Amino acid sequence: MTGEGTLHLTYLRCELRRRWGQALCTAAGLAVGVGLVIIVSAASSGARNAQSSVLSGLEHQATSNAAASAIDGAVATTTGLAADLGTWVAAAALAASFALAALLTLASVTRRVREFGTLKALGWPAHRITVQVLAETVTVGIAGTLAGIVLGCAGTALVAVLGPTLTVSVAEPPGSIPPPGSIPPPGGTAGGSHAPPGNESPLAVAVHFSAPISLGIVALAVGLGILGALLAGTLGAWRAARLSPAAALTRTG
Amino acid sequence: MYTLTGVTRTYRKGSQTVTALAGVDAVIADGEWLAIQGPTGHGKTTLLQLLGGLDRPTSGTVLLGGRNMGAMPEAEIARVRATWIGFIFQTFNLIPTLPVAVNVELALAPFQFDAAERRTCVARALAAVGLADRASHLPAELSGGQQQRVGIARALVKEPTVLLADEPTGNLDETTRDEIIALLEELWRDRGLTLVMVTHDSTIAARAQRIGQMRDGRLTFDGPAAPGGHERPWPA
Repeated sequence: MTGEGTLHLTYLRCELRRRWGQALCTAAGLAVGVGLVIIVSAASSGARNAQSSVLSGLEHQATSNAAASAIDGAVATTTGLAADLGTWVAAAALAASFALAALLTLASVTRRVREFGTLKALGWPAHRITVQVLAETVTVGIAGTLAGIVLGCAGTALVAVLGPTLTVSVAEPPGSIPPPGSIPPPGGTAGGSHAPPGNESPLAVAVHFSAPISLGIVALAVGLGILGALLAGTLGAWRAARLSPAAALTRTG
Repeated sequence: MYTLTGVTRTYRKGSQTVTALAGVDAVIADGEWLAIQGPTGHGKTTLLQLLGGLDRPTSGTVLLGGRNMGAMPEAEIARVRATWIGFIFQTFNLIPTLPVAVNVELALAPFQFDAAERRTCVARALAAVGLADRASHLPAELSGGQQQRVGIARALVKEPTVLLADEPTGNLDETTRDEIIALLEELWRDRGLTLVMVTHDSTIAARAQRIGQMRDGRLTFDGPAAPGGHERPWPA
């Protein structure tokens, strides 16, 4: 490694050690955002799997086109609503973690105004200061993203363990004949028995809900975590690089 | 070294315009030691910042080695600061978490030196200020005088032509002040530096070759420029 690279690394290490509390907050914020993205994406994927299982199970049992269509619509709507809600929650958490990272980076730059003024007086060009601030924020961002992946994996593992077994039941239109093999509903009849006139005979399928993680989900989370760190770092670096050295050096505190 | 012609610097402060420099004309010779005195708020630090390329004049020209600093693009003026000019601050401005050696090494960052060359330069600079054995210490583990020595080593490690010092002994006791000024005087003489020092202390100012008085943004001298006589070409 060049002397220049070693110097930047030493500076980075010492600076993160000095601001460990702030670095921890930034990393924790990004970890929560990234973790939620993983959990929601995996849960959404799990919901789609459950939807397919439910549909294939019920459609197999349903005896009329009308029933099949009703099942399809109801399950798809429920799955869609759950996925939408999860996506919004994850997006809000991610946006909040980005904002937190940006605010903490800007606060750090403001506290270090004299330091950047001194570096400029030493002849550091703006791009070198930009690289320093970006490197600090991206390092914290990578740590937060890794922690977020661990958090996300733990969350989805918890869903797998605690995940409910979903029982979906749909009322058959009057007069239809439930096929053999359908699950007998509580208080109802199945397996070829006819329901009394005026009563509807429900169909039911049980599916265990889980949240499987794919490589794509992890890649998305890593991408978003790094993007958040880059956005925050760019904002801080831009502010640090634009500082007037004269004003920065006369700043008190 | 420096030629200043009709230099003014004004600032906007709310709805008011504040004049920090109101037309400064001066010639500072190569190798000269110039002390600048004057009451607080009369433009001493502003003048030093213009000489160091940290700020630009509102009007007039500041020539360093014949080149107009006010007209240089930012990247070039950063290169001039890196190569030509060493700064010494009243409050030392060391980075508290970096060991002494790394603080000094920061001044070499703009140069393409390898790690071994950097270490050699830093060791030499620390030895020159009597702190060879303190390289791995943090600034907080040093006294004020030692911290200022580190500041001097950081200013000199790149072997500049000009040394600009803003109240370098303002935060030090009398004994330490004398040690620091003796060190600066020795370095100035041995290295043929052009030294411009802002100071409130008349004892220190009296040791300079020439004294400039800054009052109401104007600079007057007690005598003509005192050439020390050394030239250095512009870096390629």
